[in-house]
Amino acid sequence: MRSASVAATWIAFALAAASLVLAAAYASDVVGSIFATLALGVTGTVQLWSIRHLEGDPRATRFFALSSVLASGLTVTAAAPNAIVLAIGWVVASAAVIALITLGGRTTQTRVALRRTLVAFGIGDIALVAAVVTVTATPVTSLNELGAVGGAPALVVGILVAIAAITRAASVPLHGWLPATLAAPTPVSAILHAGFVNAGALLLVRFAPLEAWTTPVIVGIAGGLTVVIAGSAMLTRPDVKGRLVHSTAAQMGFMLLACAIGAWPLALLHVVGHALYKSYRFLAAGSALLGEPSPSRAQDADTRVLRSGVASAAAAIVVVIALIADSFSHPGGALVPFIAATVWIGVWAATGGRGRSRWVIAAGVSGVASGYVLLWAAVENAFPLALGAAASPWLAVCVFVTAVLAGLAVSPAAPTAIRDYVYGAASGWGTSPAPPSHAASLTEPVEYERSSR
Amino acid sequence: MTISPLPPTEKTPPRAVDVRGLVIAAAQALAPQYPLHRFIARNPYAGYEDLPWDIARERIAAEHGTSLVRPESAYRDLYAAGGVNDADLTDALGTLVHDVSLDRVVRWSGRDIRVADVFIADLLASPEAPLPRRTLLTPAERFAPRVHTKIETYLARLGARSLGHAPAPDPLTAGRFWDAWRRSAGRDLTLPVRVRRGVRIAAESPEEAIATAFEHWEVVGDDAVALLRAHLLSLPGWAAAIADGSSGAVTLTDWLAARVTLELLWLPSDTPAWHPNAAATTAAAVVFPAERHAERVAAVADSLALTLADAERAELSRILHALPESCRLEAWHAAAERHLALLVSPRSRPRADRGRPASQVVMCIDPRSEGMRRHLEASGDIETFGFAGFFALAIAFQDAAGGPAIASCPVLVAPRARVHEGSADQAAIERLRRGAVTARTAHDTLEGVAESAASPFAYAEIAGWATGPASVARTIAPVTTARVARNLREIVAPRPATRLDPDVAFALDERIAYAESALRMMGLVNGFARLVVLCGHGATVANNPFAAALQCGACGGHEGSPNARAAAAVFNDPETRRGLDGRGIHIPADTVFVAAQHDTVTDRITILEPWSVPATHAADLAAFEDAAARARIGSGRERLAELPGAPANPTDDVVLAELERRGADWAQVYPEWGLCGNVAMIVAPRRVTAERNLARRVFLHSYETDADPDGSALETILTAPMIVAQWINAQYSASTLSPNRFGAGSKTLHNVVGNVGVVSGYGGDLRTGLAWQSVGVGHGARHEPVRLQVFVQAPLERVGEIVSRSHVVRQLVDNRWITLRARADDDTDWATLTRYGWRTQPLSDAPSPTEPTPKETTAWN
Repeated sequence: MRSASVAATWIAFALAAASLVLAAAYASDVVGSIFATLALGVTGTVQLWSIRHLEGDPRATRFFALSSVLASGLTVTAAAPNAIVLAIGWVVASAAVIALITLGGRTTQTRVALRRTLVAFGIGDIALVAAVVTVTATPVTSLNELGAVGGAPALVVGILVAIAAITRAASVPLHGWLPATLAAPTPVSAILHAGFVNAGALLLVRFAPLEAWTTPVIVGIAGGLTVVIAGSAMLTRPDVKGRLVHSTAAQMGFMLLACAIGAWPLALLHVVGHALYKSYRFLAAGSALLGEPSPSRAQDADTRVLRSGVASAAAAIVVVIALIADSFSHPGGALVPFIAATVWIGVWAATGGRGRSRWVIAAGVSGVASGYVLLWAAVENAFPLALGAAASPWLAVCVFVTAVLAGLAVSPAAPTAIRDYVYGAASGWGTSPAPPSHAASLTEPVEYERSSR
Repeated sequence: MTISPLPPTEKTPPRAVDVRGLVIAAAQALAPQYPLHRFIARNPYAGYEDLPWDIARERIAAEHGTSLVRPESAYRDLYAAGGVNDADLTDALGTLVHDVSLDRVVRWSGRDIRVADVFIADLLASPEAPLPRRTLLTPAERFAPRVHTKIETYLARLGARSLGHAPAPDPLTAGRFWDAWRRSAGRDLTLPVRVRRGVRIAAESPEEAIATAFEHWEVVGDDAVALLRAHLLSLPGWAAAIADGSSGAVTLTDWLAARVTLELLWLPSDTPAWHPNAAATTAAAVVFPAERHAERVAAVADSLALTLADAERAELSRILHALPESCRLEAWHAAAERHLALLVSPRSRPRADRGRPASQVVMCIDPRSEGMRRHLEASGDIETFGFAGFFALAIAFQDAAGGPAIASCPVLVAPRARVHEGSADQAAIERLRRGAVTARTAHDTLEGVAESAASPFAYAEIAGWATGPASVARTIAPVTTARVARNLREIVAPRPATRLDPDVAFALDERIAYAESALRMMGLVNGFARLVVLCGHGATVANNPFAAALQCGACGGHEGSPNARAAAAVFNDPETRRGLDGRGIHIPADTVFVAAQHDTVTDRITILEPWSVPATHAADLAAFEDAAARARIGSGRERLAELPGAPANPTDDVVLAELERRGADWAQVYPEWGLCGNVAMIVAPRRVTAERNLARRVFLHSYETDADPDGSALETILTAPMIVAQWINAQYSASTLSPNRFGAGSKTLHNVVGNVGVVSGYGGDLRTGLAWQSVGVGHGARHEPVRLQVFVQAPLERVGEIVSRSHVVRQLVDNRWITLRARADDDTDWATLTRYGWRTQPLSDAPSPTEPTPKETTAWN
C-alpha cells in the first residue's frame, strides 16, 4: 500500500511535469504555462513542507499520492490542447480534491465536507462535461475556433462554463463547499486555495473566444456578490482558517469579476499573486496568535482627521498615477478603486502607530501600491488580451461601492440594529454543522481512526 | 411537558445568588483552560480530587465519557511486551483484594494453584472490562439529537465569537454579555423565528433565565446542578475557556443561561420530562452481572486449563468476587505504575566527599533537565541541582524593548515586584524601543490591509510576490531563513548589553530572606563552586500555537531567563551575601553566580549576561561552556534517537544541524517531546539519582534534610512544585487516555481562535489539553499514563506532618491521586504513605529490577 502510494506520487508528479513542458515548450502557451508552473510549484513546496508536518501521520502517504494526482489534473487542465482533455484534467482534479478531503478522517466534519463537495463538484463538473459535449457536437474542433459556435448553443455553453467556473471559485450560490474543506489537514488547504480554486480563470480564458454574453454576466454577478458577501464574512471570523477561507472566496470572486469585465491580464496576475500569498498564510496558520495582550493604542480624535486626510491623499495619488499611466482606457481601470482602497487602509493603519517610523511605513505602502499600478498598466499594455464578450466595467465599480458599504455595516460605526443583522448573517455565512463528537475513540485521535464507528 | 407539574406551593423560584452557587457547583467538573499565550499544564481532573480515585473514575466516566486508565486490551499488550509482570500484578492485587489471601493455594482438578495466579489469569483472559459511557446528557441531546446538533453548532460559534477576535469587533462583546446576546441573537437570521422571538423576551438577568429552566424541567438541588453540568460538558472546551475568565466578558452563568434558554425555545413542546439518572437506567446496553461473572469464571478456568467440578467452580467464582470487575482496571493501572516506579526509584549511594567541583548548575525540576544534567555531569567537573525554574522569584518582567510586562512566575502566584531590563547605554535602549515600535506598526499595517472590506485584493496580489519565495525558503532552508530574519532584526533593533534591577525591586531584607530560603530549598548551603550557573529554560519553536506549553511552566508559560538573571544578580549582591553570613550560609568571595538558559529544543545552553561575569572567572566560564557544548551533542543525540523523522546514527555535525532545524522549522510538529513520558518526582540529593539514565522521565528536586532544619523548605516543595508536577502529569495522562476529550487532536487540523485556543477543522468545541503530537505518534500513544510517583528522601515524621497539615496534599495522598513514598536516608527502605499510615513496600526486595537502560525505559510502542 505504502509503496503503491509512493509510486503513484512520482508517476502523477511526472505526468504533471510533462504537461508543463508540453504547454511551455511545445505549444508556447503563456497562460497554460503560468497555471501549470503555479500548480506544480505550490504543490511541490507544500509537499516538501508536509514531509515534516505530516511526520508520523498515518495519512501522510495518501496525502502525497493524492496531492500529486491533483497537481497532474491541474497541469493537464492547463496544458490541454482541446476541450476534451481539458475536461478530463478538470474532473481528475475534482476527484483528487474529494479524495483529499477524506484525509480529514472519520469525523462528522469530514462527512459534511464530503457531502458538500460532492454536490458542488457534481453540479460544476457535470456542467463542464455538458459544455464540452455540446461543443464536440458542433463542427468546431479547437478551442480557438469557439467563435464559430453561434446562437443558442453558444449561449447554453456559456451558461454551463460559467457554472463550472463559479463552482471552482466557490462563488455564490455554489460557495458552501470551500469552508467545509477545513475539515481536511492544513497542507490540503494550502494546495486547494493556491492551485485549485483559481482554475475557473483558466477555463474562462479558454472559452473566451466563445461569443456568448451569458458567461460574463453570470460570472460577473456571482463573483461580485461573493466579493461583498464573503468579504464581510471574513471580517466576522474569529478563527484564522475561517478568515483565510472566506478571504479566498472573496479573492476568487474578484478574479471572476476581473475576467467578466475583460481585465484578463489583471485576473491572471491576481491568480498568481493570490496563490503564492494564500498558500503561505495557510502554512503559517500556526503563527496566528495575538501575542501578549498589550495596552491598546491611543486613538484620539484629532489625529483621525489628519490620518484620514493623509490616507485620502495617498489614495488620490494612486488614482492620478493610474490616470497618467492610461489605465482607464483598459477594462482593468475599473479595478483601480480596489488598489486605492488598499492604499487608504494601509496608510490609515500605519499612521495609527507611534513614532516617526509610521510615516516611513505609510510612504512605503503608497510607494509599493503606486508601483503596482504602473505594473498593472504595463501588463495590460503588453498583453492586450481582448477576448470575447465582456460585462460592463461599471459592474466592478458597483461591487467596490457595495463592498465598502458592507464593510462599514459590520463595523462599530454602523447603527446597532443594522450591525446586529448584518454581522449575524455574515458570521453565519457558509458555516457547516459542527456537532460535538462525544462517542470518540479512547486510544487515538478520531481523525486517525481506521475503522468505521 | 407531558408530566403534571407539582403543586406550585412547593416551589419558590431560586434567588440569583442560589443560581450562581449551583453554577459554581456544576463547574467543579471543569478545569479552566488558560489562553494560548500562557498555556501551562492544567489538571483536567482537579475538580474530582476530593473523591477517592476509584469513585472519581466512575463519575468521570459518566460525566465525560472518558477513562482514567487504559482499555484492558492495552494493558494486556503491555504485559505481553514486558511492561507489566507478575510481580507488579501481585503487588497491585495485594492492595485491592482483601477477602481472600493471595498466597493461599487451592487444589483444583488435582493441581495446586496460587490464588494470586488465579487473579492474574483473570486479568489476562477474562472478557474485557467495559469502556466508559457518558450518561449525563442534556435534554436536547437525549430527546432530540437533531435539534441538539443545531444548538451545539450555534453555541460553538457563539463561544468563538465571544472569546475570539474577529477583524471587525463582534457586537456580542460590547457591554454586558447577557444584554448583548439577547439583542444580537434576536436579530440573528440564522436562528429560527421562534427562537429569535423567545430570546427577545427572555429574562432580564441570566440567573432568572436559568431559574426559568429549572422550573420548566422541575429540577432542584443536585438535579439542578446535574442539568447545568450536562450543559457545561456538552461543549466542555468553550465552557473551560469561559471558566478561566481572562479572554472575554462572558461568565459561566451567562453561558449557561444562553444554553438553557436556547434549548427551551428550540425543543419541541412535547419533549418529555428530564431526569439526570434517566439515561443510566433506560440505556440500550443492559448489563447482566451474573452472566458476565459466569463468562469470567469460564475464561479463567479455560486459561488455567482446568476442568472444574461444580464445587470447584463455585469456589473459583467466590474467589473472583473478591476482585469486582471494575477493580480489574485499577489493578492493571497500579501494576503498570509500580513497574515504572521500580525503574526510576532512587538507589542507595552513601554520601561521599567529592571536593569542590569546578562549577555547579541549578536547573529546573522539569524532566527535560534530567537529560541535560546527566550529560553536563559527564562532560566536566560539574555538580547539578534541581529547583523550580522560576528560582522562587515571583516577578513581573519588563523587557528593554518596551513590550507589556510579563508575569514570570507560577500562575497561582501573584508577582511580588516588577523587575526591569535596562542598560547604561540609553541611546541603545532608545534604538531598541524604536525598532520594536516600527515592527509593531508594520505588522498592524499589513494586518489592517489584509483584513478589511475592499483592500485585501490588491494586497494579496502584491504580498504574494514576497510570500511565494518565503514559502520556498522557509521550507527548504529553515535555519538559514531564520538566521537572516534574526540578523535583520539585529540591524533594525540591535540588542544592547542589559542588566536587571532586582536590587531596586526588592528591599535588602527581602533579598536576604529570599536567598536563604532558595538555597535551603535546593540544599546548596555550603561547598559552593567558583561558578554557580542558574540555568532556566525555554524552547525555540516556529509556527506552533502551543509554544507556551513547551516553555517553563513555573514561569507561567514563558522563558525562564528573566528569573535566572534576577536570581543571579541577587546572589552576587555583596549586601545580600553579608546578610546570608548572618544566617549561617557563607558564600565564598570567589563564587560567582551566572545566569543561563537551556533551550529544550536545540539543547543549547546560552550564558545570558556574559558581560556580568568578572574577568577573574572568564576561564571558569569558558570551561563550563566547553562542557555545555559537549553535553549538548550527547543530550541531543539521545533525544534525536526518540524523535520522529530524525536521522539515524547522526554525526556530531548532523546532531547540531538537526537540533537547530527543529527549532527553526515552520513545518515541524515534533520539535521536542516536552514532558512526554513523565512518571515520577524525586525529592532527594542528586547523588541518589546520579549516574543513572532516567530518560527525562523524572522531576528532580534537590533536597538535603540537613540544610532544612525546620522542614519549611520541604513543606514548600511538597505544596508547590509537587502540585505543579502532579498537574503536568495529569495533563499528559489525560491527553493520552482521551485524546478526543482531554487532548487537542492532531496539529494539522488546528485552527487558532484568537488567543483563546484552537478548534479542529472548521469549528466546533474548543480543544483542551495537549495535541496528539505531544503524547503520541500515528496510531500509538508514546506517553505512559500513570499517576505521579513521588519519592521523598526525608524523615518520615516530617513528611507525614507536612501532608497532614496541607489539605491539598493530604487529599491527593488519601484519595490515591499520587503515590507518595519516603525514606529517611540512603539505607532505609521506601515506605508508601496511605490513608492508614506508612506501608513499607517491597520495592527493594522485589525480583531485583535491572538498571534501566535508555532502551528499556524508552521502548514505548
